[in-house]
Amino acid sequence: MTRILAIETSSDACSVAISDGEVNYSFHELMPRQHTEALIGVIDDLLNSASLDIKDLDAVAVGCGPGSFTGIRLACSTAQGISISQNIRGIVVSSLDILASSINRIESAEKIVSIVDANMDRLYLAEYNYSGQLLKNSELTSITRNAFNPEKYDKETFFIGEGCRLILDSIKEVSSLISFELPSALELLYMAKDKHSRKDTVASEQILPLYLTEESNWVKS
Amino acid sequence: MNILGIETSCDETGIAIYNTEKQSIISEQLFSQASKHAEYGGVVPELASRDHLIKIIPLIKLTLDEAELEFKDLDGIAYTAGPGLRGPLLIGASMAKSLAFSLKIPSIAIHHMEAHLLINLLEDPAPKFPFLTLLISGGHCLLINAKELGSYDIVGQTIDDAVGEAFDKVSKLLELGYPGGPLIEKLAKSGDSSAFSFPRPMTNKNNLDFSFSGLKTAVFYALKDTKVINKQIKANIAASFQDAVADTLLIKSKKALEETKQNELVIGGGVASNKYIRKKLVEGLKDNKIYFPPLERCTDNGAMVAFAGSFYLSNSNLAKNDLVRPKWPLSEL
Repeated sequence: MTRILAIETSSDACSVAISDGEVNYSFHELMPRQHTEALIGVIDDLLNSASLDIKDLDAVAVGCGPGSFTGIRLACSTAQGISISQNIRGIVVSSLDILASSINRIESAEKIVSIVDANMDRLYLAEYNYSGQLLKNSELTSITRNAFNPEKYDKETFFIGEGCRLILDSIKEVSSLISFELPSALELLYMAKDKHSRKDTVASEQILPLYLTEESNWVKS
Repeated sequence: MNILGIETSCDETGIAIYNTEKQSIISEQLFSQASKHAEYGGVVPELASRDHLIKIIPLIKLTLDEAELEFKDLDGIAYTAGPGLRGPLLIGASMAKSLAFSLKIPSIAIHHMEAHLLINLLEDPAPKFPFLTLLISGGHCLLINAKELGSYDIVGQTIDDAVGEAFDKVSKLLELGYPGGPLIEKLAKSGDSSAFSFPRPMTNKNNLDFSFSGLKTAVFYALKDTKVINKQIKANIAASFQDAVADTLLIKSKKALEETKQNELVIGGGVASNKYIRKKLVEGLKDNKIYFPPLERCTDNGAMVAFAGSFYLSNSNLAKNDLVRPKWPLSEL
């Protein structure tokens, strides 16, 4: 029985899920700019629902982004703290992968493009091809909105993520399969179980965000 | 009891453990990101946040190892909740909350400036409340009447730039680099502090406030009026500027001691590591008792947070739902 805590705060949703080995418990609510204050309380409530103590966990998983910088750092920092203090391994999954995996699970979609809003007219984007269980994905990229080229895709391509809103007209030229879903901790939990069984885990200090953003955008305080 | 302190309010990742029985810091680690921010000429909050998250776990591990302790030996996690940069503050805060929750021990939100002030109480001899405090750093310039633990009246503060900020800006004008404090102090050693007569801002005003923006402008015009700016001229400007700052701090501190009827002056903050300023204050306030933290405890560090945590272990003073408070007045503890 593998007990895993999963944390996904890369979007406006505060999303947490726990598996006690048999039953999954999850919390998923929109709370823009409030998950920093809420996260620990949500984890506590879910552990109570699952009648688990923090000591019972076997691993802690995070959606590492790309997404809100504050959100992905919150998830990673919180997971690092739990991992190091409980001496358990971490599991790191890209939030773009979480989106693709969820739409493959729900819609049996095979050709998938995950898109997350990167602000300042940019998108985080990745392409996926599922055949059977096998997932093949392109590089995770950060592109400008204008660089999005719909001609690469066809009407079977499923577009997922709130980032789709930014280029909705372009997407509609090729496909009507569009979902604005946010990455969820429950999907992360499913993926984490699989990763854990394959021992695809990391040490506490390796639970780190995936930013996909160049330093050139940085400004002095 | 063992209290772990976490400081991430700006560009130093500081971790330390204070033991209440031994009444001392039993281990500490400090990583300064200053060199990483140097190429930008100042602290980049996003870069600082990223680096804190990479460094924080390795530093916590080292601090525990050095103290020969395990997580289960900790009794509280103190962290800087503000004031400071929001992104960097959140790294320390979320780590502290996560550790405290996982270990079922309290987390303690600490006011950064109170930590700078309290660290002096760890020294021998230590000041006793009430006393006057001069906090001088890259983000602050404050004169505080410290009446008792948690009760502080700000009697004077800068109306524009902080002292450390003035050092950074003058350093830029002199093409020295970042951070400016140590670079100006070093260059000033070979300069003549009477070569330029810079203003002592606000010293003729009948209050205890500071202003350093005009001093920076005076340096700008001094450079503009100088035909050949060689190394010696730069050294003279650095020395004269540093003297003007030290003099201003001295005049205002003296006035504040008189007005608050305090005898003891406690000094803290990164600029308190400037030896010229230290000397000038000690010589100018011979009738008063002056306390400085050791040089390494002037700049931001985890030790001051761990130590401050020992005072608030049983009664944290931040509202329950507040994780951080980037703008947190010291008078609102």
